[in-house]
Amino acid sequence: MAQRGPGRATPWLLLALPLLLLFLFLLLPYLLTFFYSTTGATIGRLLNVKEVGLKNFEAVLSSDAPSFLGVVAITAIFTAGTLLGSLALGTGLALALHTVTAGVRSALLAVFLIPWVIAGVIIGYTWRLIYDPAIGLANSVLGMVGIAPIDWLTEQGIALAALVVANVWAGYGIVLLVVSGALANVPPNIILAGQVDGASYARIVRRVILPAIRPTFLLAALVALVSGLNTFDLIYAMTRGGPLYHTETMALEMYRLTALKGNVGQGAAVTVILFTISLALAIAYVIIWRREARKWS
Amino acid sequence: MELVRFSLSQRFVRAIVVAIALAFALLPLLWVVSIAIRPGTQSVYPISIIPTSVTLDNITGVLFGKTGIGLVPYRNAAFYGISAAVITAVASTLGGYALARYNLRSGEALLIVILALSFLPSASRIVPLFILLSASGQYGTAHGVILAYAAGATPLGIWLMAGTFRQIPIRLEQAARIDGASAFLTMRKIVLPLAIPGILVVATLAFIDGWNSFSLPLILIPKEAAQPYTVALQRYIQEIGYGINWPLLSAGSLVALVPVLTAFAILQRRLVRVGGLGGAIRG
Amino acid sequence: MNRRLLALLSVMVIVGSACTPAASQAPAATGSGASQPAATTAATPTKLTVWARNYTVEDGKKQPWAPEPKAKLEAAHPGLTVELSGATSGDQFNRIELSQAGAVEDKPDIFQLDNIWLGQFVDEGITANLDSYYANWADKGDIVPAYADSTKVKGSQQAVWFYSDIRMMIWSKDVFKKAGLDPEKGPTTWAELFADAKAIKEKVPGVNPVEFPASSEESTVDRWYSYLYMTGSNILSADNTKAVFNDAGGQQALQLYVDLVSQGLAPKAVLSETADDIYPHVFSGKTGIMLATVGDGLGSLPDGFDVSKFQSTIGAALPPLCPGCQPATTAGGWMLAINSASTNKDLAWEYISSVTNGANMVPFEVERTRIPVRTTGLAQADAFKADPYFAAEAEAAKVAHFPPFIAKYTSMIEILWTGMQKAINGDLSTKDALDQAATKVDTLLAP
Repeated sequence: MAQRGPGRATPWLLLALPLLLLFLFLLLPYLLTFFYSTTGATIGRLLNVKEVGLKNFEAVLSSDAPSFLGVVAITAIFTAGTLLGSLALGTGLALALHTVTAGVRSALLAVFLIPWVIAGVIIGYTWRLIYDPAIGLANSVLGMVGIAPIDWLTEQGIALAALVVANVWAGYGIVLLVVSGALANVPPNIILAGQVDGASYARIVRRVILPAIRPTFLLAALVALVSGLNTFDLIYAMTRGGPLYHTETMALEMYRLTALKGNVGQGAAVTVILFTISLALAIAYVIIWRREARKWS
Repeated sequence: MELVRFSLSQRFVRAIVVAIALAFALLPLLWVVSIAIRPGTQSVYPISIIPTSVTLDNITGVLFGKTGIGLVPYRNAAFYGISAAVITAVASTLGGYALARYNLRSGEALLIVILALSFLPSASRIVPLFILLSASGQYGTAHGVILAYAAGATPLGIWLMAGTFRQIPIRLEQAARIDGASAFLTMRKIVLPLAIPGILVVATLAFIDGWNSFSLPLILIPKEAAQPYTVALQRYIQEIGYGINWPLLSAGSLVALVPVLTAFAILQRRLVRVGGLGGAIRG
Repeated sequence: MNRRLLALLSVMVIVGSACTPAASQAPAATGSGASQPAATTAATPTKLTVWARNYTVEDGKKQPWAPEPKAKLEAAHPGLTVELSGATSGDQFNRIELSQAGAVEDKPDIFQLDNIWLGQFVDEGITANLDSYYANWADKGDIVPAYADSTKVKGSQQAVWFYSDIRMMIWSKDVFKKAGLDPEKGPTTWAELFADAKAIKEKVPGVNPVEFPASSEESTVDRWYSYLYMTGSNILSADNTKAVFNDAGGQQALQLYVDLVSQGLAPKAVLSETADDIYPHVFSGKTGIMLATVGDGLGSLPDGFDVSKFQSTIGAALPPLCPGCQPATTAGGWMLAINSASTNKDLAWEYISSVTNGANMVPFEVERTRIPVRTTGLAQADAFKADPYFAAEAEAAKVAHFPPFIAKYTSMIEILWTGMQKAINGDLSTKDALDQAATKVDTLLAP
């Protein structure tokens, strides 16, 4: 398709504003983070910093409170838990709603999407209230069946699981939305064909529907994965990384090192590590998206 | 559409699944409402599931009371959110149009890079943004924060607008140009009206993200009077010696939900349609 | 990428970065600045910005800043407004640090700092040299000798003492009554502490017998030091170069915490609690004993408490003693400093001088149970009698120890509280946890 408009420069003129905005406030900060990860910058000393090479990475990797492996494990568990929970709930619900009449379905979809538009900190406060040992819904329900109250957010073994539940609540809506959209695009004839062959609904789901939506499903998985990895507000509002670092994901550690400890260099080092992982996922997302776009265009 | 005929037991199972999901989705919010509308004296252990009396005191307290955060934080959040929405809409429309209509060799790659950027944790650009803004003397300004929000929402915005523009047949523009209309008039009378639904979606998403933002204003807005409600409500968690003020915190959260749920209700049908194109990203 | 676009972007970046206002300066790499107090600026200043702690600017309570000192300053300089803003301890630290990077309008003229931050702030060049002001200061002789030198860093005065505080143990009289203990008598020895705690555990279910902060922040170490000092141990060696808290006394002090938790007398949840989380528990009867709090708790009453209700609810005394140990407590307090970047240093000094005046401080100190740092303030013992535990506090002040005034103190305490947490959590033995922490502190302090 030949270019239109007054000349070759037009598209770039149009792009100048958005690209400048993205460059200054999105790209440049990330580039700066890479720079700062090799310096000894602190909140008190941000300019005229001295180079320290890889010392920040060393310090982060060899830290023992929390241990780096611990943080990675917590991040992995939190992200995997969020991912599996959101996928299971979102997809299961999408399948259930798929066969409901359209009017009811869109009303239900709207309701299920509500958590998705709520601020991360508000979700955090909401669930912190639910988990409050004294007046929370969780312990009240337990009390009704005679179980002793649980310290959901201060018990080291439980806190992370409690956070995962809250994050699944926050994120399954978007999985539901995306998978619902994909299900709606599945050509009805292949489902009818399955029916005609006498297969049960479960069989149809497994053999026909799920494979048909595989690319979208993978996309939804990637979106859930990335948002799990980047979750900050919710965890900050609920536990700040406690108890004793048992909910300290990489995002939290990045904040703690930078803003609480004031060690900008080390915070940047954690950011670089998190950034690398996110970038890999972003590339995966784009590859799958292009493959999918090519298939359906 | 009902493709499959379900047995009664299958319908029953389906109803149970949906009911449980509904409970899971709504109970936490209902609990917040319950704490917000009951007097503080009832928010103590052991707590009754149904409040014995209701009051609006907590809501008026958080907005107008002595220990409240006032209307100002909500106004601030609205100001930042709307401003960011406007800038995002403009930037996304420009960028989306350029990428949709012009076959740029690097256009595809550009789109990919832009989208990949939005995948990265927004919390990690806070400190460098802080440094950049301080170095240029813009730390603590409203426009600093608004532009930061807009930059976070624009990648997805460009992507959505590119998709929107691609769906507008180019013949319409060509016809208008052949009839002698200038490029500007074409945009105004033909293209933009058709693109409005997409622009609204982009603006709404940007507003929601700005309204909900916490980690950015936490560091970039030092002045208490300029902080949005997300940061102001933190005060109820950190108050010295008083424990967490749940009644006021819940009331404050409820107030925060009203604008965003309204915006969502108005645009949810469009969001559902657009969202089906591959999912929106939250950072 | 298209060459034209590249050029366009480069131009914009260059133009943008050239617009650096002269006002925002890079923080000096040198330590305590040799900057002289600026001569009074030609234009009449319109605003004096003061960053204070939140409870010093609380409505309805006595404030040291206002109404008199503020009114006096504003009357003497027509057109001037004093702008006071309060913050929690953590926020105060952060905003002072962040202020270095901001534009001049966002910098305070005066800021209140915890005495333990002084070393670091001087190192970072945030504080102004006050020697010339001290030289001509009439009130200089009024400062209690014990405090006079601790505002000096690297030989010059960098701050002014504002008020001080000490740590006391507090208990809930209500919980004691329910446990069959004498509500007027708190435990005086560690043995009594354990006995009382066990009684509470048996007779008052649902109540934590003992609590102490053990989360990852400063109050954890601050509230522990009293127990460290009483064993005869200390945090650092006399020359502040080596950690000594891992000696026998230190192990004994930390073992107290470990034993309380392992015997179920203090909940493991203390690992997530700060001092501010805990002391309301004593007021509400959720906890029996708090091992150490600022003052006797009278200074920060929760809603619904006044002085008379306070005395019938809370008991306070010096921290209980281990066998063969000496009474001890921890001293803390707040200072005022002038920002090195301030253009109103003379004005700032004028205000500080009038605010910290002994007589002016007393009403605030009485209401908040803080210790005066001026002889004239201490002389007003009668005013302080409103605090039922004032006599005990005055005695405690005599055995109060300060933490070391070094720049690396704030980094050091993180190592210490991490070690404490490991021991309390059972990850390491008390000895190993402290030894590990001591080694790290030695490395940190090495030149």
